[in-house]
Amino acid sequence: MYAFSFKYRFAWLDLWSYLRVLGSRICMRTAKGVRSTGYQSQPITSPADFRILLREYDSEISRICFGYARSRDEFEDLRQDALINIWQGLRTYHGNASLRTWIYRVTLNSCVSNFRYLSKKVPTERLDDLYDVLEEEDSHRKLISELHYRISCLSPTDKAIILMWLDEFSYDEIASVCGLPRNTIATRLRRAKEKLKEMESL
Amino acid sequence: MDIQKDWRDTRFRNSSHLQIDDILNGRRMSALGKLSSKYKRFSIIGFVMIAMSFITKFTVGDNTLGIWISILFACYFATCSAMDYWLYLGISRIDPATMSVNEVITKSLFYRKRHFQFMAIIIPWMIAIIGLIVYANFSDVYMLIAVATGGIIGLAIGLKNLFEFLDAYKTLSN
Repeated sequence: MYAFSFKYRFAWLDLWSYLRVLGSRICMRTAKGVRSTGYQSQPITSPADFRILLREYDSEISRICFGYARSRDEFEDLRQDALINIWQGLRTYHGNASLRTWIYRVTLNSCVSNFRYLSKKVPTERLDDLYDVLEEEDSHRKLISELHYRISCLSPTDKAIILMWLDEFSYDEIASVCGLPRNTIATRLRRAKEKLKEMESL
Repeated sequence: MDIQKDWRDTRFRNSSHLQIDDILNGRRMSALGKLSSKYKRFSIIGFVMIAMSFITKFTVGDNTLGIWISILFACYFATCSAMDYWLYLGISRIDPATMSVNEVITKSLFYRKRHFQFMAIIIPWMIAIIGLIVYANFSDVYMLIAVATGGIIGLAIGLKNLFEFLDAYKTLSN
């Protein structure tokens, strides 16, 4: 009897920990706060939550817009457009996919739906202006600008696939966002990487 | 991979142009929103111009030709209004929050292509109507001056759009 009570004397602490975890999960489900991982069951509608979301995902949104832009003005326009679409679309987000994947989808769609920027031509003189938005050291900046130049020569769909691959999304996630079969994603990604390598040899 | 890490470590300068408050207050429209709003506006203008087109009947010397010019104008503006309304409906249905990237690209290119194809129909049509007005008012110097002035302004605006059209249509067709 004594052994039994000794063994379970701290059981109430475990029960307390369990209740705390259960309570926090209930609070997370009902709160309107922004979570960086997992799914959001409540739509995000408050400006404060949007600003939190912006702080968390700004670098990713900027990277996508940077990938599609050909000048500083285009970069600013695309970024602003993406934020407008994210804010307007947040009311319809109910956690069907992860928030990160959803933000990626909206940002990519904002970039590809800008008709003015669908042309493949890349005027070199405007690219130098674009690379001023990078806050990097010279060696890293050179690498990123070189990568950007190669990516800018791809088609809009291939750009989306490459940008998601660079941000380490899985093939299934890329297929879901791009609306293409997984095998097609794998094939197009391989071809896009080959094109980028060809440019390196030039 | 290193290249993925390098890409993810990229940092950007803070933008001074970002107007978060305007976005939150709904004072900013997205590019798609502006485009659909533009098509809706021009569709309404085209619809109103159907009624205005019958005023040309009274400005043309020859009554018979004037009636035909008015009818042609009305048909022209009705066509323009219908085209713009169709484009407005299509563009406003593109939803970046729910559609896939491939779907958005396909629809965007489709409606952009249709826009240029519609221009290829309505521009020659308008040139033919203007030619008919000039023919009907050959003796009226003031009318000819008015047509010439409007034609020069229209030509200047039209040439700019034409070069953009020739450049973009080739890209869209590939």
